[in-house]
Amino acid sequence: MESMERELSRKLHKDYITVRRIRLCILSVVMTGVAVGYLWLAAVKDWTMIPGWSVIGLLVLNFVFEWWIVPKWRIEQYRYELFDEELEIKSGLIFITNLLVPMVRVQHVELETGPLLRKYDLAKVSVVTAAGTHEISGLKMEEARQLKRRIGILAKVDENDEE
Amino acid sequence: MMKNEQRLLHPFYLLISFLQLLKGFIPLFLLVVVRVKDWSKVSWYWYAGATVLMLCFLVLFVLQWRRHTYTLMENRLLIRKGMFIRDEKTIYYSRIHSVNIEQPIIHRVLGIAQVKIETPGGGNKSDGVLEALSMKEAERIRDQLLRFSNEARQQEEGVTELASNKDVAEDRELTSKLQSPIAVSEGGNSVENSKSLWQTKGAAAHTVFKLSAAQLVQAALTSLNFGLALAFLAGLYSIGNEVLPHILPEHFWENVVKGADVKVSSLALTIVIMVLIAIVVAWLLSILLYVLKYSGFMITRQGEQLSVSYGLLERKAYLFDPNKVQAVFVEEGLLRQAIGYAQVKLQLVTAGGQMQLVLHPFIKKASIQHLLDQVLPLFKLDGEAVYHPSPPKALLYYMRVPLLLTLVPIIVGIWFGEELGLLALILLPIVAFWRYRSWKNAGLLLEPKQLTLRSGGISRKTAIFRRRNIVIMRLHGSRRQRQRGLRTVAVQVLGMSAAQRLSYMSERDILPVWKWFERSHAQK
Repeated sequence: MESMERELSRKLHKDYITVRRIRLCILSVVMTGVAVGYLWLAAVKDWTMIPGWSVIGLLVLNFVFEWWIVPKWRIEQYRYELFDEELEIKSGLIFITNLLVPMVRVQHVELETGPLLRKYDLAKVSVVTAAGTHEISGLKMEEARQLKRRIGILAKVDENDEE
Repeated sequence: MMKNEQRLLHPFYLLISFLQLLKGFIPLFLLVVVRVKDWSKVSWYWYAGATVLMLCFLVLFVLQWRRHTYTLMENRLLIRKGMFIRDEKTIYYSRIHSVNIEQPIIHRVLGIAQVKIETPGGGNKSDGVLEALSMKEAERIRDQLLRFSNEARQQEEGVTELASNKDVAEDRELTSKLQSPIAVSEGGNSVENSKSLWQTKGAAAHTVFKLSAAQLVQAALTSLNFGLALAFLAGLYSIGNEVLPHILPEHFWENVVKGADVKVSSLALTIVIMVLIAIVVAWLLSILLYVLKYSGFMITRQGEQLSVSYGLLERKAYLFDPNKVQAVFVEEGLLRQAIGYAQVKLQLVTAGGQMQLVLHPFIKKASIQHLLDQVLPLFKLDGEAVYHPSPPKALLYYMRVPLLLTLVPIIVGIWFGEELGLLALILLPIVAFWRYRSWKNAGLLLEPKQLTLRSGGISRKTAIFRRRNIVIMRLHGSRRQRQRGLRTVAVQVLGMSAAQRLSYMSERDILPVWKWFERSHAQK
């Protein structure tokens, strides 16, 4: 039987896992701070401790999940490829989604990066269509730039083809 | 009418402004009526003051009316208004997206209309509105604006079209062939650029279809617009809750409850009866609302444009270009499935964003193809076609999660409501039936240029997409579903707020759809 689906070749960069983990640490520290603050206040004012402890419990679960499982699967499973006439993205951990965006439908492309992403020389490419924004986050700057340029050309070339 | 002539709105504009002012004062009136116990004690200067105030407003309105003008310039429409703050709005003909004639209830009583000129982007604020025009003038303005905007657009060739495939060219050819008698006369008009043309009426509108009174009643009887009706009832209830206590004797409800034997069984019976009454009332109400909304429904064609108008109290007319229709939806409610009728809706892109327009509120399923041939020749609905069904193994996925979710209210109901909670068990067969029907209805039909997705549990929805209109396509599926060869497909076109999904179809039937949408692959 012929393979029904074409394989997509491009992946996110491994450094993106590190970025996700750093983000996770920041979030966890902040949220734990809030929860501890609540616990302290609850102890003083004699309130119920349940919300504080349950938030801490959830944070621990979230941490374990995001630290080990998500990078292994969600990021390493992520695939994309830009063909001449369309962009295809395959993502998901258990529920897998394939997305197909024809180049004719692309309204514009954006390249974004933040302080954390920049530190690891990473960037995010957002492809905007009438049906929403589709992001590819965690590419090396150079690759992201190329991708953005190429989408720009492909989407534009088609517009000129009209005549 | 010539270009560059400054015109005023219909004098009834005064009346409309005045009524709007009064509307703003209603709370004050009510307050006064409630507060004043003895009208003879009110001093004369209150009356005098009120009269002077009203006169002031009247003068203000007259001045405002005199200063509210519109002018059709060479390449743009100019709307000027405002007494103290002058407001000038310029709308270039080439930017006009659509021109609609509307008749809100006051306009309808007075026999006048308002014209709304939509431009892309910017939302409602950027729209031009001519608040009061005579019917005749409104129609003339609309026809002229549309003609000017077509001319302007022809001059700016090449900017308008987005899609570029061969599909489009072929489609256009097909459309123009089918509309040739009208297209020719229109073409003649726009080529001749003489001023005498502006005095002639616009391309003769000819009626494609008109809903008869009998059809309207049938449609209303089978409409079952419970959502709208229930919202209306909820509104009534909240008003009633505030008003009733003042009318009914004290402890009325307590006595009613005490009078009844408050046993669980009788309470359950009361609930069932109440629900039944609510359903009947909602049904009657939905019939009434339906008749009000859709009476006088008709489709006309003006040149290449189609116009759909309807409404008894508030009359609305929507004008659109059939080439800009993004998708067609055929909806069959439960009652309508039994008698073989359906409602046809269109997905349009307007300045205000997405919009679904009813193309036909009540049509025999077998006649839909005929209607589409007449007005939207690009879309096909083959009544005989055999859809690919959802495979038997998918029934599990249709049932499992919804049934598990239904267990939650049931368990809660039994836990807290005890015997009464058992009533919640009714949900189980209802949900099972609904999901079974969803599975049964699921169907997919792939044609060279068109994808048809059929879905829905209680009411059945058939969505028709043309390949060139589809913006994105998604395939979903859990690992387990993929192993079992099941996939969910989701399709989105311009203007749709959420994707149209078709769940748990066989991979064998879905992957050809994916390949069909893949452009790069299609070329190899």
